[in-house]
Order: sequence, then C-alpha cells, then structure tokens
Amino acid sequence: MNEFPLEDFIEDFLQESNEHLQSINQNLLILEKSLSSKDQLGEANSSRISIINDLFRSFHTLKGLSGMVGLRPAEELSHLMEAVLREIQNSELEIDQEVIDRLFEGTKTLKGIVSSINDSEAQAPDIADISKSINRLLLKHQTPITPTKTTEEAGFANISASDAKEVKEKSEEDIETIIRRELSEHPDVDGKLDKKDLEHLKAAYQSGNLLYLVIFSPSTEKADRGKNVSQLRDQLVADGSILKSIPLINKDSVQFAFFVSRTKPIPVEVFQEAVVVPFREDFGEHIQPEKTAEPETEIFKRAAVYETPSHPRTTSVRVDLEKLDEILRILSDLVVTRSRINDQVLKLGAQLNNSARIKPFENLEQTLGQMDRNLRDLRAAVTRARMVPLSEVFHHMPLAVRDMTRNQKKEVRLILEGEQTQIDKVMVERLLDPLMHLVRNAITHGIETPAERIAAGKPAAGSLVLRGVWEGDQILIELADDGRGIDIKQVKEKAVELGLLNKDQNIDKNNLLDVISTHGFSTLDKAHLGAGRGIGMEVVIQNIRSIGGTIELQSTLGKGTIFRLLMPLTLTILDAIIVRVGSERYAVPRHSVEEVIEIDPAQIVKIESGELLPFRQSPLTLIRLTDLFHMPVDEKDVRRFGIICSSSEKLAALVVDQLVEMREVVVRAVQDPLVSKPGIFGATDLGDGQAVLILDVPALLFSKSIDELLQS
Amino acid sequence: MVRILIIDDSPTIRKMIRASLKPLNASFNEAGSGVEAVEKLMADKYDALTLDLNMPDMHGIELLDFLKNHNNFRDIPVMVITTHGEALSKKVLEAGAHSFIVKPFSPDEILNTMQKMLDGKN
Repeated sequence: MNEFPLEDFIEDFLQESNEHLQSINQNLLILEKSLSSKDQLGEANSSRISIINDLFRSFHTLKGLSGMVGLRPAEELSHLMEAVLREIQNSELEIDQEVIDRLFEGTKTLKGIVSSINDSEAQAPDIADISKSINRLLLKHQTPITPTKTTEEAGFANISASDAKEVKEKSEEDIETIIRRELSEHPDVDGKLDKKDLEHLKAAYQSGNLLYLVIFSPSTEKADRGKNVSQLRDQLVADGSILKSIPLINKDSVQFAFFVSRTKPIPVEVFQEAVVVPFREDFGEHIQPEKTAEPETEIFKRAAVYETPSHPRTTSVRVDLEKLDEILRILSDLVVTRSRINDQVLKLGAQLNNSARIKPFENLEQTLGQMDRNLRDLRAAVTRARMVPLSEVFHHMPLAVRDMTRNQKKEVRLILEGEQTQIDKVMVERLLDPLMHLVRNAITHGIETPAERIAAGKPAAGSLVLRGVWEGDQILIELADDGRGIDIKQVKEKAVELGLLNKDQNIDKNNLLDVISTHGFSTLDKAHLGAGRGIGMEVVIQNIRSIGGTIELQSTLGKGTIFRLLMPLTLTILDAIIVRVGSERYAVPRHSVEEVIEIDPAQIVKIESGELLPFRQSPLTLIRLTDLFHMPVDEKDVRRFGIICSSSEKLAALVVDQLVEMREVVVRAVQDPLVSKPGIFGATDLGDGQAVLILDVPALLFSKSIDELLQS
Repeated sequence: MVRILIIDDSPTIRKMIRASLKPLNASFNEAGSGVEAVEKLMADKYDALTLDLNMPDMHGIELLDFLKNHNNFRDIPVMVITTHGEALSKKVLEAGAHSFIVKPFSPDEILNTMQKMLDGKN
C-alpha cells in the first residue's frame, strides 16, 4: 500500500499540533481559574461550555493528526483525553482539580511525544502511567449525575439547594418558552435545533450573556459592499462566540442562521445587514445570577480572544519560514543590485556635462527613483508577511507561571497586554528564552510569598504585567512585577564578596544591570529550580543584544522591578548611516543612533582615560574607532563627526571622519571568529563588491568588554 | 478539469488529502469550517467534496443534511473522512454521503475512492 512521504508533512504536523497543544494549555488554565471561583461561575458557564468544546476538538484533531503520521502513543493518549472531555460534555464527569491536573499531565506527555517525532535521538515519553491514571479517573467518576447538575450548581450556588432546584426549573422552563416563542417566527431554524443545542442555548441564556439569533442572506449587492458571511462571522465572534451555525435553504437562495452568545450587544451595523432576534429584550423577570467578579470576566474575555486564532480562515496559506527567508534573500540581492546601478548612474551623471544632460538619462534617474520606491514597498510587504503576533511568545507564559507558582507556593496574577502587536517571526523565536527567563526571575526573586506580601501591606497575589507596544520602528516589551524590588545594598555586598566590585565602587541604576548579569552572580544562596544559578541574566542580555535589542532595568525597593526590552521589528534589512574612518567605511544601524553632531577639535578635552566633549552642559565621552580597531591615527585636527548613542543615561559618541550617506543595507551574519566580536553586528555589501562591517555602536560604546577589546 | 472542495478544519489533513488526490490532476479549493464550505459552494461549482465531521460551528452531518436538501448541491458526491470509528458510517451514509473513510487513511484509499465516486457520477 502506498504510504505518505512523512517528511513532506512533518513541519505541518508539528506546527498544527503545537498550536493545538498551546490552545489546550490556555484553555486548561482558564478552566482551572474558574474552579477557584466556583460560586461565581454562572456568567462564565456558557464560555465554559465553549472551552470544553474547544478542548474536545483539539484532542480530537490531535488524535487524527497523530494517527496520520503514525504516532501511535500520541493517538492513544489523545483518544483517552478526548474521552475525558466527552464525559465532561455529557456531564458525567465533574471538573475538579484532579481532572485538571491529569489533563495538564496528559498534555505534557502528548507534547513530549509530538516533539520526539523530529528527533531520532529523543526517547518518546511513555504513556503507560498517565493512561492508567486517566483510566482510573474515568472509572472513579462514573457515577450517574443529572445532566444539568453543573449548570445548576454553577449559576445558583448562592441560593440554598432546595430553592435552587425550584428556581432552576422555573427559569429553565421560562427560558425554553422564550426561546421557542422567538423561534416560532423562524420555524425553519427551530426545526434544526436538537435537544443538546437547546441545552447550550439555555445555559448561555442563564449565564447572563446576551443571546441572539442572527439570520444573514448573502447577496451580490451586499458582497459588493464587502458584507459577506465571513465578515459577519468575524464581527459576531469579536465579543462572543457562535453557539451554532445553520445554513438554511430558501427556494434557490441560501441563508445563514447563527446562534450567538455575547458579552456585549451586537454592533448596529449587523442590524443593517441581517435579521437579528434578541432573546433577552422583553423578558426582565428571570433570575439573574450574581454578577461575576472582575478578574473572572476578564479571564473569559481572554478566552474569547483566544478562540479567534484557533480557527484560522483558509484564505491564508502556511509558508515555510525558509521560503520567506529565500524571498528576502533575493530581495536583498536586488537591493544590492539596485545600489550598483545607482553607483554607475551617479558616475555616468558626473561624466556627463551638466548642460549636456540628455533626456534618456533623466528618464533613467526617474525610473531608478521609481524602482527605489517599489523595492521599499516590496520590502515592507515581505516584512509584513513575516510578522506574527507577540502572542506566540506571550502564550507560553501562563503555563510557566502556573508551574512556578505551584512549586514555590506563591500567588501571581499574570496580565498580558498587546499580544496582537506584530513582530518578525525570527525575533519571536529568539525572544522566547530570554523572556521566559525574566518571567521566572520575577517570580523567584521578585514576587514575595503571600505572607510576606500581606505583611508588607500588599495584596496576597502579586501582579506580573507583560506588555508589548510599538515604538516607532521598534517594539517595546515591558515586564513589570510588584514584588520586593532589588536591594541595591544587598547586591553590592554580594558583588564585593564575589570580587566583582571594589568596596569603594558604588552601584546605581546605571550599572545595576551590568552587575547582576555578571557571570556567577546570584543573591540567592540556594539555587532554585527555575532561577538563581547566576548564569541566566548574562545569557538573557547576550540573547537580546544578538538580535539588535537593548535591555533596561528599573527597580524600586519594596515596590517592584521593570525590565524594558527595545527590539527592532526585523533584522534582515536595516536603514543605516554609512560612515568613513580613515580609508574604511562602516555601516551604523540608524535605530541605534540618537543624534549626529559635528565635533570641533578645539573643544575636545583630553583627560587621562580618554577624551571628553562639552555637550549641552554635560560631558560627552568620545570613543575613536581608530583606537578600538588599532588603525593608523590621522593626527590632523580636522572637523570630525560624532555619532551619539545613549544607554541608561550614559552618553557617548563614536568619532568618525565623514558621513557618507544614509541607505538601506542588507545584514549578513559574520561567521569568521576573527571578525565576529562584540560590537560587530554583521557585514554588508554596499554594491561595489566590498564588504563593510555593520557596527553595533551601543555595544562598542558601553560594553564593559571595551577594555578587553582595546587590549586584544 | 474536475473541481474538488476539501473541507476539514486541520490544514495538515487538507494538505494530505490534496497530496493523495494529486494524480487526478484536479483543481482544489479548501474550507476550514462548514460555513466557509457553504460559502465556497455558493461561489463555485464543484464535482466532488471531501468532508470532515468534527469541525467548529457546524458538524459535518449538518452540512451533509444541508447539501442534500439543496437542489444545486444534492448531486455532488461527498466523501466523509473522519477520525470517528466505523460506528458512525451507517449514520453518515444514511445522511447522503457516498463514501466513508476513517483516519488514518492511506493516499491510495482516498484516491481510489474518489476515482470511483467521480466515475459513478459520469
């Protein structure tokens, strides 16, 4: 029998499975949170149903996928997990911490098996233990429970048991009546609803969500205005979820009926395009479950946000990053070729006498300008295609935080903001490790135990905010905790003890990050599992700098710590200032340059350790490339230029002989270990065939290894 | 050229089905949900469908039911490809599907069944 060439599908399999595993973890986290607020679950109940349905579908898809690629253990395990979810769906199994724990464990094992497919060395985890414990769970919980029990407990836990039963029955009847009444005008829709659907609608209604029936009739006229069923669907799920979709046949046309559960009213535009039947309007008497407290609503709002990307529309195609890289590489070559033509045209222009300028030449210049703009647009378009939301990194955090807080007996509320901010896929991949480390650090070192926090007059649960925002052509990622902050005195003692610092050297916010990131530094005596071995921060900073980012630290004792990471959006093509020093040219990435000034040699003040320039009432440290790179020094006192960069309130300038131009450059990695040094960002080709180094100016100006560089 | 619509919420499975049917030299379109499938069916004519059962929003059987009740779609042959076991096959065939295949499937299985379905139609 003909089999699938597995290697053709491994990448797709891994990507899709990992998306499902991630969505499973998120949904499990939400379910777990809803456990601790059980008596307020009413409002969340319909969301709960849709989360369980999502979980079921994820495991179901994983089962199918694993079977297709021949991963038997994964197929079996997903099948078991699917069984657990089915029991929950049928209200035969109640969700408690044990169920959640087993599901988390199973998911972890599943992830291990899935990852092992690509690694012949790796031993796939054994499923015997987890299968046994899940089976036990299924057996143990198999006691008859009335189908609506969860709903009842959830929505009316604040009413005594006997009352609750009465109230529930009455209101359920009422709800059924009102649903039937509204549907009586739409018998075609009514006929398509089965008992289970009705249960879902009732649960959604009871939970306090707004319930609607939306009927949309597509037409060419609407389509011309961009109003089609997909657009409508996106609008409906923006603040809610679709409980059921039904396509209806009306003579030769087709209509779509959607049952929608929403937290906010349906936007007015929808009323203009479709028939909207609200189920709540004229029925004010039913029992309203108590309003859910804020945090829980927030959790479930987030659930709604997660839902959208988990069913991506098929107007998109998956493209291997390698293929995009190739397009970008070809584009980069094109940028270089363009530069070559530019150079030639400039030379040609210089040779043509000004008055003798001919029309075809002017046309050529114009066409080149046009090509410049086209290339820029193309670059922007390709860059956009590589962009993914920051959520790809952020979504790993809730699970990590859960594990950490459980191990360390701490309480932490993780707040994610700006997850939709777009960033280059490659950057996202390289951001994960450093960010994960910072999050671990924040929980281990930053946030105190609940007892300590209460003693300090803070809420028992610490807050950890992870936020991403655009900042011009860069992205700013902030991680803020409200923990104990960094004790500078303690850091200094430790640093002196370790011989990292002299007794008379002070620690201020400028060199704090340098000190805590020094190899071997750790203020915790016992190394924790997650953090505290003193190798982390050094690697974090290296990682961030290697992708062209900067990192800043701000900490207030007793109040908390904020890390600020400023990252370029993409790495491959940069706007750069081309400078000349001696006979060599260099490229300086524009995003790292604060300002460019002209230096009057007469104003330079020579001091023992170097040169200073008075600059807006403060001294500006001058650093010469000729010194750094041991190049012949041109002693002539000519005017030079300073490229100013700042870092944690330090100002310094790199002295160059000439500013040549500003242009796009293509970054090529430098592999040669002789050249690949801190301070060298990469190399580029300016179009004349000569390699030019791209300087990492902040590293050159502020890195502590500058001294070593000078001596090497 | 034969036009086939592949309906499955998993992009990987869609790719696998497409790869299996490659020898047919057909033109393919894909839908990731029932609603999207109906949308695409309204926009274009198709000679055959492959259909997953467990999808967001709309179950495959509901979609089948819709197809069988619509004059324009009634005669399009449908191959149901699902992870659910044989137990469902009766229900699915009763609902109007022409063939029923359980995942994991082999490329030949899909190709031969599709070939038969298309032959039977002509």
